[in-house]
Amino acid sequence: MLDLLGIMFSSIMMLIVIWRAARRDNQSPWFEIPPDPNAPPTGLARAQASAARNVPTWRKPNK
Amino acid sequence: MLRSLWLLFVYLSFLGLGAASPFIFALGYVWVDAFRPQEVAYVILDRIPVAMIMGAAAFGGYFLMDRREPPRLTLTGALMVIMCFWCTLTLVWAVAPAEAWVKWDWAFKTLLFAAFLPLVIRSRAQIEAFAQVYLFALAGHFIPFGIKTMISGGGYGTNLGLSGGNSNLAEGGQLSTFCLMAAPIALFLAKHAQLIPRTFLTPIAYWGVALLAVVTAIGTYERSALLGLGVLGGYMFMRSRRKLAFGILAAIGAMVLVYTSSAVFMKRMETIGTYQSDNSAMTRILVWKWTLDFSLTHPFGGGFTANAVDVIEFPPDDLNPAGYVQHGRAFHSIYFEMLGEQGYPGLLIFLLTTASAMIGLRRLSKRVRSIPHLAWCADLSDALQSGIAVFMTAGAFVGIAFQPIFWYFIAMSVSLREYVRRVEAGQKPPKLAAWRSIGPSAIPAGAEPVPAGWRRR
Repeated sequence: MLDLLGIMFSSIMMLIVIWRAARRDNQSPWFEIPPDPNAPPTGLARAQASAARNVPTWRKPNK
Repeated sequence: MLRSLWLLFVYLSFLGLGAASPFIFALGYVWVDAFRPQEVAYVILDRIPVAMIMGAAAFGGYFLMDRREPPRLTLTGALMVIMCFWCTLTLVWAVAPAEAWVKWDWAFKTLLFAAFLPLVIRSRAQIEAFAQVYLFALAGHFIPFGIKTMISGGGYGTNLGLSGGNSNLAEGGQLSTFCLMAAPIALFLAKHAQLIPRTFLTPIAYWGVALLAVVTAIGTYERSALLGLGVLGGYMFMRSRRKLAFGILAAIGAMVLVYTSSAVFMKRMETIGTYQSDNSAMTRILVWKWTLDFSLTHPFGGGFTANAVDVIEFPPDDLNPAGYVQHGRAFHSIYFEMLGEQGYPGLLIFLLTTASAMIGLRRLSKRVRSIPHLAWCADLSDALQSGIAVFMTAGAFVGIAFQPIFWYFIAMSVSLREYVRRVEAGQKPPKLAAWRSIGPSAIPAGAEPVPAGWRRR
């Protein structure tokens, strides 16, 4: 009974792992690059930072 | 019957999911190698070549479907390949050719697959899945063993695990060493696992698995396990950031061990200091002495299972006043196993492989510890170092130099180091970095740097 318990617990955990790992592997991009905390903000983060400083993100047309 | 059908389902799950993501085939091979379902199942799996099918699927899946950006050739990876060649070459002058081929058959596959693993294990999800499969493949054996030890107290030579006989994980020395190597991996996963849904129970489950691994190691009554446990505790203490808390926990654990262990356990552990009067320890010393003499006449080794020709002369004792002779005693040490079988070159390759893995892991841990998004790499690096340190200590008294668990640790260290290298390379715009090395004047006006990212499908 204890043998079966050990086998069931370990293999169920392992099946969850390989199922989720396979799903992640099939996502695009499959190799996840974590964000660099030292990189300058871009996109939405940059717009939010500008809004917080009350600086317009658009440029006035040249006269 | 239920056990066999369930294991067949797990085996088929690896094959099925592998068709979608080929690296799962490689994990299936790791599971087959570590758990050995063919020895645990009663029907079907015990009659088919489970490892060969999974291994062929892993290699085929990689070469046909998944050759995405292979890793650089590292020193550790190159040494593993060199070891494959060298151990094959020593077959030419093997002193026991028939036995040598038998061991070469599985040892060569182990080394080859370990050298192959860094090709398929590249992303964070893959590295974590590798660690999880390794842990749970072993946990299938040590969870029942650990619980039975808690109930019965364990015992030397008492087989409480899934496998029968006295080889592989049914052998106390091997089981205890591999359990102690698994414990730091479980603690790492308690903190950083992403593939198991995180609830408040997740870390508790991993801590429970780590505890059962340690209990199993103690329950084997192996003296090498106590030494390994000491090294594991010491190494984890050195690498710990909360030394006081770790020290208090370790002290409580040691007190619990002393108060709950039986007199039989304490008596066996005391024989560490009285090896002259202990037959098992004396055999080791005599075999090691024979191996040193053998290495003088066979500096390039005697091929696999060279111990088949050893002649061990025991000194006189009370039972045998004239002394006695034994043949074919095992090496009982990874170092003497390498020296006797693969000679000085083989021992050197083995030590260099281990040293390069350890040094690489230490450097990596130092470099990425302060980077928040790579902190998990530092923790996995520490866990791998602890496991390798346990292997090198406990393995000094058990002949397990070619067992897959150790070589998979080495493979995991290569995968981890390559992962960090790719992340660091991916965070720098590659073309911009190349231009910088030439000089700013070389950058064409209006050129856009290549966006960060290692590979897009």
